[in-house]
Amino acid sequence: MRRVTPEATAAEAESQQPANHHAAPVHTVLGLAGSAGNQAVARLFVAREVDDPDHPPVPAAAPDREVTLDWVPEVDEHDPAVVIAAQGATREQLAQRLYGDPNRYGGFDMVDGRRARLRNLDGVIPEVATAVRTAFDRRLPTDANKVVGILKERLIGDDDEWQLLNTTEWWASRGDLTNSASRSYFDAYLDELDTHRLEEWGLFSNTVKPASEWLVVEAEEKKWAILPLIARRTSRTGTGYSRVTGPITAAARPDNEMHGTVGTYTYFAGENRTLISSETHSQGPITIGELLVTETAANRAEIALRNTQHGRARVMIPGGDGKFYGYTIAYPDFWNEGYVQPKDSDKPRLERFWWHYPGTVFIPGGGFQPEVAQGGAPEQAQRAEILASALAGGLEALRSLDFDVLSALNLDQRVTVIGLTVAGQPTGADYSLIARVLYTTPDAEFPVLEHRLSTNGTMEKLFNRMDPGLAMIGRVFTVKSVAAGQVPGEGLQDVPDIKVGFDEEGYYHFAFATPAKANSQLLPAGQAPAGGTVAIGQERAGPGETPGAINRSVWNLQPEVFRLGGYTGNFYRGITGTMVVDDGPKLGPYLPSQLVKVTSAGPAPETHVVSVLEAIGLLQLPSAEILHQMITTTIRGGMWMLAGMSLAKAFGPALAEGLTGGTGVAAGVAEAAATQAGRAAIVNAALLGGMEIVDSHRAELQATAEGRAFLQVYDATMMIWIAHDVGRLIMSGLLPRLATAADAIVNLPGAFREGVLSVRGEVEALLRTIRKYATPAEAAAAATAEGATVAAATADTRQSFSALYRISRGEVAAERLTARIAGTAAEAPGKRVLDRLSGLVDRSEAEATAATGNSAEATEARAAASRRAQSAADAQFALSSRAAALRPEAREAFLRAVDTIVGTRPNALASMTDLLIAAAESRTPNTFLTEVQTLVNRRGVSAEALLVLGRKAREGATTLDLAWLNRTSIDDETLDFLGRDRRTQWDLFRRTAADQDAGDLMRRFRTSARGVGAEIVAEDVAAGLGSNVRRQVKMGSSEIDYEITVEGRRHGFEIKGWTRETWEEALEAAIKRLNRKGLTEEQRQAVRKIDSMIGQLQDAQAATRRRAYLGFTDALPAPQRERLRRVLADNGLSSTEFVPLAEAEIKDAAATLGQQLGIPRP
Amino acid sequence: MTTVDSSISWAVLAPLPAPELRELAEREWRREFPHATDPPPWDTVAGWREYNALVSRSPGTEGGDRHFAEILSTRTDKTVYSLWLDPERQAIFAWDGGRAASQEGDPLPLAASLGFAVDEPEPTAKDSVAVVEGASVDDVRAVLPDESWINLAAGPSGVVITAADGPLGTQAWDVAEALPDATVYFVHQMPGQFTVLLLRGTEELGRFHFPRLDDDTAQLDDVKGATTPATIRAALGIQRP
Repeated sequence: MRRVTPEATAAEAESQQPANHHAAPVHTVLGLAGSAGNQAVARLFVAREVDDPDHPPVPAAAPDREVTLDWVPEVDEHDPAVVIAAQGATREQLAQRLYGDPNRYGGFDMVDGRRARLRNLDGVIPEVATAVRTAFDRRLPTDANKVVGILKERLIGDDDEWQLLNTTEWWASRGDLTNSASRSYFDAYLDELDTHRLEEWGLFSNTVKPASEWLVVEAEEKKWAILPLIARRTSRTGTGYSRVTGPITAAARPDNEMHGTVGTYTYFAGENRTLISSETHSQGPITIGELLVTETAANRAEIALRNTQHGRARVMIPGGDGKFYGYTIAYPDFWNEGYVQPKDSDKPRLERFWWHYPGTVFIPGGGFQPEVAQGGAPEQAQRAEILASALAGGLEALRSLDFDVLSALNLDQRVTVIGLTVAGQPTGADYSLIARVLYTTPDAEFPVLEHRLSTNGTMEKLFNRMDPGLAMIGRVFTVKSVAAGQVPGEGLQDVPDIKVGFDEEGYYHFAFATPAKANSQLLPAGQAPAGGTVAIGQERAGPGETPGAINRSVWNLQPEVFRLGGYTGNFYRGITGTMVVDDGPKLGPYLPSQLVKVTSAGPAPETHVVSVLEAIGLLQLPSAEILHQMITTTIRGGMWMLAGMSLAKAFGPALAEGLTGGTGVAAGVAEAAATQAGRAAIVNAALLGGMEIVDSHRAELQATAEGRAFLQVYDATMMIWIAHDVGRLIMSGLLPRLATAADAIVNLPGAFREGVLSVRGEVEALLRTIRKYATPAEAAAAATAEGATVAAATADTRQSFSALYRISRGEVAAERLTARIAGTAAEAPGKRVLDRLSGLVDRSEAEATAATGNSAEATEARAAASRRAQSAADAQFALSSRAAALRPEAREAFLRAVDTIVGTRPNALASMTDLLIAAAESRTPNTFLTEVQTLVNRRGVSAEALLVLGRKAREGATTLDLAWLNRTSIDDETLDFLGRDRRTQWDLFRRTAADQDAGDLMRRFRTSARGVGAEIVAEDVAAGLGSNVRRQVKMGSSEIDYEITVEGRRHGFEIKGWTRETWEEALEAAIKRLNRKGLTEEQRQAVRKIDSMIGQLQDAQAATRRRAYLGFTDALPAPQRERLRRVLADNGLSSTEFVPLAEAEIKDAAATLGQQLGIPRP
Repeated sequence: MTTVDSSISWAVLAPLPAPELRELAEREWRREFPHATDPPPWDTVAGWREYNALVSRSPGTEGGDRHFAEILSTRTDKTVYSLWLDPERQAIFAWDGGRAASQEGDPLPLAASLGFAVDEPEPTAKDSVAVVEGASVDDVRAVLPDESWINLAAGPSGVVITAADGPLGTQAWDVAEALPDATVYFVHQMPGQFTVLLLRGTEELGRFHFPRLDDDTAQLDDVKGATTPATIRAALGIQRP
């Protein structure tokens, strides 16, 4: 392996990154979706990092479902109150990094997807607080000097005055943050100003004042904005303003201020055009209106306020009297829902605003928070109270509920709430409420909710109208229904394709949706629908539903074209009744969850697969006003755009992006990834990495017909693959179609190629696996139940679907790598490695097939051979995937290193697969391989030991740190002995060697080493007792230390290396229990050892039908042995053979082990 | 509900939601093996109260729990417990704010007290009776401590010692040692096994195992000429076991 200095490595790492790629770690958002309430917030990310320091890899799209927490929030130097999370971090993760508490309520507000504004530094971990303070401290003198500089000017103009106000307000608004001396940064700012004493020359005498006083003087009329800030946000007094303690009311103020003032806003009016500038800037007070909330804790006040009067802007202000008050904002109305910036340039337009009182929390009107901190039990209890109150209060109260409270609704309540909204004429607020209710419904409950809404007339009422809000509800409906279970049309077979939007002739395509009633049937759990597909008449009953007949709403779609044109044309068509004409035959009836394709008309068409319910929202003919807006804004956007706008309003821009990204795949993935269903779908790194690439190149793919065709099948396939089970995917028939679609574009130029290839590889592996079964149905059954018979094999040799899939996956990955390295220097070593692994897979599969019969031996042999085959296939996959992701020279070094290792112990390949996989999956594969090479070079370490050590190495360094092991003085014989033992506590050994004084490590080590010593001593004794000594043999449910053959008969030989004292304590307790005496807690614990031993000896006796052997220290006196005999007799073990082991030898073996690990003798 | 038992090598019990534990496991797994295609080797076990657990079932992995316990203990004000459950390595570590303290006690009852189903093995249904030949009821009573659950009665073959319910303790050996001239038949039955030990003084003269073990050199061919449990009971004049 090439040697590189650390400096060169770093430089090389940097130089080998693409220009737009940081050295690392960099996190790239793959897709996102958030959720509220009881649904886990889940996101998908791709983490990229510098890898092997020797050979930095190509930035592989190694997906990571979880943004790691090994980052420290970055402080925004422009505003140190703002911290920046790692890309893609969730609110919970940020809270974890800031407070060590993912559920922390309050403390900060998300500014956007990554940036959070700290309200204060209370509870913030010191590391972050220090970074924030350092940035503030750095800025403070600079800002103060600028202000002082202005104050020193001879003439201070209006712009300067604004500058004085702006800088002062900037520090005032950050006054809730404190410096290391616990002083408010606003106080600190004024203190810093006061380090400058400025002198004004007067006619008779000069005036000297601290800069903060000059600031107020020179700010002229802006001082009316500065003085209340000083009065309320600093420890200074004498400004002529005071703070109100208790609730702020409309009563007249004793100070200079208008009653009810809690903040200041600045605005501008007029125009700012060259040479005709009439723009003016001014300021005004923000005043509160109604007192909505009075609470004794800030969190309670904020939660209560967020869930009331949602359309109005609100503020929560600490009263200074131990209470927290929530108010509406009475004036101005900039932040209320529905506020539209005036077009008249003479009208004031908002510029900036700030709050006078420390601790103020501002909640703009109409905004909801899908990602909200859960808080603890008090917060949850309060939400339950709010929900109960809102349910009693009716629709108006319900409209104000945020995601957190709505997530507490039960099924009946969801039905009731949605029913209430459609009872009248739903408004935008109602559509938003419905979307939030649907979104917060747990996945498992969603189909039941749909059935309820479709059988009680609610769905019909809701979707039998025209409103852009329906598209938003439809989007949420699609995402939720696909995530919740099988939906009709997910195989994309015979799925209707409907056009929407303006075509090139300017005609608008849409569809009329008409509801109808149909008799359907809810099938009992476990009964598959005919043809495997859910449809009208064969739906799956959800949890708690009674199977049987239902009469439900279904939908028909009539495609139409609206021949909008010039006035004359419209008049003529109006007269002749040809303004709107059918655009094809009527489609349907459909279940609401039926998938359909909706293609936007126009020169650059896009196709999206959506549910019928979403299609209804998208395909409706917009009202004349909306139509006009669409024509004037974009010819393509149409209802898509409006749906997105509605979503952004109800869900916030980040979640709206997740919900509208692609066709819901990303959102579906995000939620499903956290579920067991997601795990069962054989989702792996290669697939997710491929998806990330495909999703980031959608626009490129949409540009060609082949790309669009691919995306259609891809979206549907991935929705099922990720969100559900493989059985469903197999039966959908989508896989061969996706393979064909991928093959059609894989050679097209474009950056999507790698992604498509990864996805194609996974599809190929699945297809090969399916072909190993007699029929796809059998494969689907096997994938679902892991139990069907493999085609062309007997029932005795069947392997699980996932095992076969892993073998196929390894095969496909190896083929891809082989093609990639053809003609390169890596070809020879790569081919040797892959051929050997492939040979091992074939041999192991053949051995599994050959091991027929139902005997225990045959079953064990078959299982062992299957494990070898899988492990070899896993190694093929891991090595090929990792090699493919490396740069050419790193790839060659990697494959050469693996080849050398395999060549070192060619007959032990099956024992080394786990070591090779661990290396391939590690951060630093070539470094890891160096350690593996060092280990396998030790000829005294058997293949059996390598196998066990490999399994441990795959569990990480806290189980076995190979690098440490290779640097101990442990001899081959001892290493082989310990290595073969699955129970060896390597981490305890490592930690004791590193820190012999830590806690009770040494005591635990001595106990463990003594056990090992006794087993080492017993090995020779066992050889003396009998022949065919085997170690760690499974007998019954126990693993017995040795199996020996005495006079041709198998016996179990269990070793207990306990000290005499341990035996005495344990036996004392066991005898007391036998004689029905009460035991102390300590004795109960001591007797567990005896019980464990009895279980082992009973298993050994039952498995061999012969007496078991028990080895223990010869220091155990005869009376204790008699007690042991009685305890054993009480458990049917009276014939157990005692084998005394020399105490001195046990001690010596234990001490020698310690010495070899660097631990002194006791 | 998944039980906490000795098949688990270690368990970290934290008053945090199970998904959070799973997420931590997945995150740490990714950190260790960023290119892994298999899920983490650790499972989550749900408790029925506040605590949930992250567990390892791989033997010899004790110590791997430290890292998780340390992190989790910084996320809660309550104590996080790390338990080692191998009966020969049992340990309790109480973690608060990232610091551990070793704690005495049995980890399984602690797990039970925190709301986990604990696998306490069902006691094996056992029964035993001793028959003392060559001694009177008074002789036997004199050498046994007065225990209300021990019954003595004269039987056709000698003094019959029984427990009010279930098996005897060490009384058969105690009597044999105390009355070296007497012969004690200790009859023991448990599922699948019937054993008679023949004791005199401190010696075990032989044993009858039914079914017979292949190579027991001390195996008696019969007990008073009887070779099956039923006939042995009859020969000794006892109804049970």
